[in-house]
Amino acid sequence: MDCVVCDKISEKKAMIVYEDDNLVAILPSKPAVPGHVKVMPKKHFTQVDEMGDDLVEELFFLANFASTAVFEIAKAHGTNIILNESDNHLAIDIIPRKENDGLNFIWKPKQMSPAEMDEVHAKITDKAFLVGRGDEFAKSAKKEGPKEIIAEFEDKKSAGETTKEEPKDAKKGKINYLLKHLIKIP
Amino acid sequence: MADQPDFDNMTPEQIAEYQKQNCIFCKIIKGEIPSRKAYGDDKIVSVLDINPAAKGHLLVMTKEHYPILPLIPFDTASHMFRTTKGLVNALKQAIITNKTTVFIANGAVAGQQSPHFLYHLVPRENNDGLDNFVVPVKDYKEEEVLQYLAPIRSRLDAMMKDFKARTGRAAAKQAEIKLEEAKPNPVNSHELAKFIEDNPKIKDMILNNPEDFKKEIEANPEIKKLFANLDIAKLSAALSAIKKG
Repeated sequence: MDCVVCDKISEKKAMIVYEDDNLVAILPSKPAVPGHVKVMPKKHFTQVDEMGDDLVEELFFLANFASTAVFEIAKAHGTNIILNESDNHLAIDIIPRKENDGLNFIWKPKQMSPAEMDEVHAKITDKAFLVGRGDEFAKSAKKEGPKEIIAEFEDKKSAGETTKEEPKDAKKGKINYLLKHLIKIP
Repeated sequence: MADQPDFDNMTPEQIAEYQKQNCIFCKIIKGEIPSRKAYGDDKIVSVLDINPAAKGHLLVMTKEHYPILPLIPFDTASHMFRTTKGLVNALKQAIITNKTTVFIANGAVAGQQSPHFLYHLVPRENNDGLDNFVVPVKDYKEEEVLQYLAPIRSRLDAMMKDFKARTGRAAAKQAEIKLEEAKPNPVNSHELAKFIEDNPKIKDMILNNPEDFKKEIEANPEIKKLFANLDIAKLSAALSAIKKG
């Protein structure tokens, strides 16, 4: 299959900021803002559910680390992590954000009636058994109905409060900005 | 809110604690506020967004209250990321679509609307009008972009090294490399035999003057590569045995 991204990865024709056997991270030549990072699997995938569990995990951790890195390095006030599945080579965009940067990724909410919401809810709970717990679980999933998983969830919802982990001192300064600005949320 | 506390005189940690106590999503998770739950296990919960971008728009959150992604402990984040794959698959089958968008906002300026970290999983269709998810492409001066190359590279390298050490994936890789190094001779015996047949002078030397050949090996790196770790005396004996037939 012809893929521009695959070609660029194999020819290393990009501003590469991370590379290992499975993943690559680059600075796109035409970014949304300077500091914009793109992370992707080296192998050609277009869908999240085509990848192995380990690869999905590694890809999201790399995106998460890239978010932390650009937040600090580009002195951002926040970050967006966006994965749009398409027919092209799968990639996650990490975009450092600042006040009044002219970007807006927030959608206009759709008005849906409670009946419509209930209908779509039923469809999803019907397939919730597919979520599973990894590659192996998918095989045995059919035995377990959706209702049992929901029931299990209902049982656990009140089960013990675990102790909150205190943020490490080193992290505090960096995250304070984010925490402080969450109070803007109504 | 009538009795909102004086945030100006509180530390960010105190504010975070206040928000945790008053968190709507913690109440949803505990069942104190009704919601339409799509999935739940011991670490994460997914509910339908009541202000959806599209039919089937899910919120995926940790059961425990964390304000932002970088504060989520490793095991929980790991589980959440791995589960994303299953959620994407289930959602595609439920909504009968083959595309989704995963959207994460860290910080209010990025569009984070709740003090409880969550990510959005939105089913997508062609021409669904959700153009805001499209990441814009813009022209900047090369030096504006390049200034971030070296610092991001060194941070990502360090963080991924740490990640691989935690998951044990780097260790497995290094073990493989050591195994490669331990292999005594990269040249197989077939190649070696061909080389000897193709070079009668060398064959003669091995057969009749193995001591001279050893000196030749030391003097010539190309030959040394081929005959590294081989017992020349044994090779000589083997060749003469073949010759005698």
